[in-house]
Amino acid sequence: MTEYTRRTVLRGAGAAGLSALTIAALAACGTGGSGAVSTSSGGSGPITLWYAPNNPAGWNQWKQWNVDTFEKRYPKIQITAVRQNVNTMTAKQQVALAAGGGPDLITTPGSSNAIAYGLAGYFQDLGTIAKKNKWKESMLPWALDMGYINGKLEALPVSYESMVLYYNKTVFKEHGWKVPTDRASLEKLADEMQAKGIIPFAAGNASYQPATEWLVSMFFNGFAGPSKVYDALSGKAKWTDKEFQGSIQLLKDYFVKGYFQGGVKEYFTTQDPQKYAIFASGKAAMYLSGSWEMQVFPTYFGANGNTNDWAWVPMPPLAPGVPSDTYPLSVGGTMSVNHHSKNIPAATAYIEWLFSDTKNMWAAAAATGSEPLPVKFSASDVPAAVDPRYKAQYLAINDASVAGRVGYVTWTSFGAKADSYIIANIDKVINGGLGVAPFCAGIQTSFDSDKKAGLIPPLFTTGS
Amino acid sequence: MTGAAGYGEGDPSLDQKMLPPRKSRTRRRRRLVAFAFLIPALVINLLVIGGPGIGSFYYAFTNWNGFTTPKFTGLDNFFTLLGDQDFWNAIAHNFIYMAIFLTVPLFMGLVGAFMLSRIRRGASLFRVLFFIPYLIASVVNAQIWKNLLDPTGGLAAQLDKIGIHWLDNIFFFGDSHLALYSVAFVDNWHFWGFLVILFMAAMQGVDASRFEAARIDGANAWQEFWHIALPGIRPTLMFALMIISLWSLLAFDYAYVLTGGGPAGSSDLVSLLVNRTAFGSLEAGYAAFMALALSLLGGIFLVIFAIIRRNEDETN
Repeated sequence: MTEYTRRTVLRGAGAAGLSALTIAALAACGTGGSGAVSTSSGGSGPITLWYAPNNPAGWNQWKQWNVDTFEKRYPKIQITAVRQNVNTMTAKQQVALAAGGGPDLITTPGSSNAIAYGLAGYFQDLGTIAKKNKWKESMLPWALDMGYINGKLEALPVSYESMVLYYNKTVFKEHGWKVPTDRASLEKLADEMQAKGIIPFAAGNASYQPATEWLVSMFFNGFAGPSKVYDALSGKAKWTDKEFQGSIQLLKDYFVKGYFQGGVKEYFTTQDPQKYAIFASGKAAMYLSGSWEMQVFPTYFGANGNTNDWAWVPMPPLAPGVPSDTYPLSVGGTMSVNHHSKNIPAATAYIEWLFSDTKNMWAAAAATGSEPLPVKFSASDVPAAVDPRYKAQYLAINDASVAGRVGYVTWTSFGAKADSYIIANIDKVINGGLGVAPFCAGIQTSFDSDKKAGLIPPLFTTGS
Repeated sequence: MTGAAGYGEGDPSLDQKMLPPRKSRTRRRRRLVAFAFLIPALVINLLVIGGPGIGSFYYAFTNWNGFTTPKFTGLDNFFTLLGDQDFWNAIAHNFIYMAIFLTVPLFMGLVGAFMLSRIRRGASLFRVLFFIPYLIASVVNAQIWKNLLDPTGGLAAQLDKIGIHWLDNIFFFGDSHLALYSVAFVDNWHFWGFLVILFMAAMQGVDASRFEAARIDGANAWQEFWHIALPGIRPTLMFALMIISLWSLLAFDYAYVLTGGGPAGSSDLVSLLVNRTAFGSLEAGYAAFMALALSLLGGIFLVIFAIIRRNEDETN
């Protein structure tokens, strides 16, 4: 339903370099405690909501499912939807909030980012609303846990996702290939693909530089294993441990072998449309990425003369002892009510509607492939119009979260500094300018700094 | 020295004292009116530049994350900066950028302006053509060149089709050895037309009789350029050197759009790092300190240029 995805909002980290100075000047204006909202059903009047689409069509789609539908249901509330630039939205929002303004509904790229807003007192406590709407029963427990900042429910995840292995089903069928189930079969398959002139993994970060952190997250979970990542996040293990160094070394080795887009230079040069085109055409056979890609695939697969098909499987384990069929969990974006909003009841009514109108959520998912809200659902709740691969993936993620077969990703479970460090430095590792050991040491230093500042998001556990 | 002057000549206050009261009042009123006219600009300047400037100076010495209440940390940010490899990597790139821009576009601008100044017909057309890239938004320019220099879909691919393989496997923005220079190339493409226009305007101010005299004396085009045009536009040239130096420290947009400072930090610039540090790592205080360091560097350049100009004035 929503399109507050990681891709959409994280790009907002960009802005004119010296904007920091502007924030600095405005900062003193706005902090404050957060009080609980007791009621929201009687909201009326205008509220402001910012959104930055990834493409020109994205705005109308988002508006249709997130603004128009709401206004029909709540005619007394008018949403002023403000179109923002993906590259500057986050910075603009920070500046606006620092000056005591900003939209009534605050969106962030994920829990890692939201926590700093919460600690500054920009968010309204939604605990009472949660009780009233019984979100504990209707929402996925791990996602609800992620919404807590300093013991208060403030930043609700509005989309969730996992990381999987996508493959070009048609190409696999043509060559009689089977999907890999472990590291050995993955490497054997990749070598075979290369021998036939096919790139094993479509990849590229020219359009979105942080994309390499997706691979870091997948390799941490696939090689070190989710329980080791959990230990490091909870402080029981260090990011410098051999399991993490091994993860990064393996990722680097795969780049050196040319598994990703044929080589490092090609990876740094490839823009998103090229990446998707190469994957859909079969020039590349696999693609390691997140659930959000299912929104994009229909533009390339089975469109404009392309007759190929895609499918997905969970990322195979990359080391002995690492469980298979695990799903790293990620929050694609959060939404909160601005504590300084002049219309808190209406803003809260919007959030209540968002999490209650699952019919609208599934209609949007069927029409656009947008990510679902982190609400519990069963197979029978999903309309037939929703792509069965999408349905299967989200059911698998939900099953895995019930069974405890989940992992952790850098942009959801790490603090902002560690996440930023990984984004800024992992490309140096794969390019040969930074060693694996110093890179991991840098993660530890940044992680410690985040921990000291209280910027590590809540660490979820799943299963019984 | 004042003793040599006549009574009151070297002392304006005495001048004032000697004025009849009405004239003195008129002069004071004129000054007040002039000051009143200045006030709006002064207030805006103080609010827009002074306020944020003072604010960022304060935040530069705090651990502010952009959200919560900042805590004064003394010189912590200074010591962090000293050991910050990313900063030194970025500032080194800024200096490379500066070296490129103090040579390539400057040379192109001078030569272009001189050649255009000698053209009788069509000069306006060329002026417009050279200036157009400067008028196009940097984001648009950057995206055009990003596509043009793309190895799979750009110029290289088109040349491939006609059997020319000069650009095969050259990753302008994906090769860490080329990225910074490729960004500078695109930035230069948009910038040099501005210098052409700037130098042309200056050359038009040079007394035409000097060129005529040189021609009569048998000077060739190069000699006219070297001995007449160049000394004639010296103040403008100094101004260009100064703004190029300062703008090279503040360069942001082309690197941001074309490479984002990548790959692997190979085209990173301080302004990009400030942005990432403030909004990515949530270290707005440290980012403010980086910006302050950059401002100080800019200030040093200004002082150097001021000294050079003063020396020149004294020499002349």
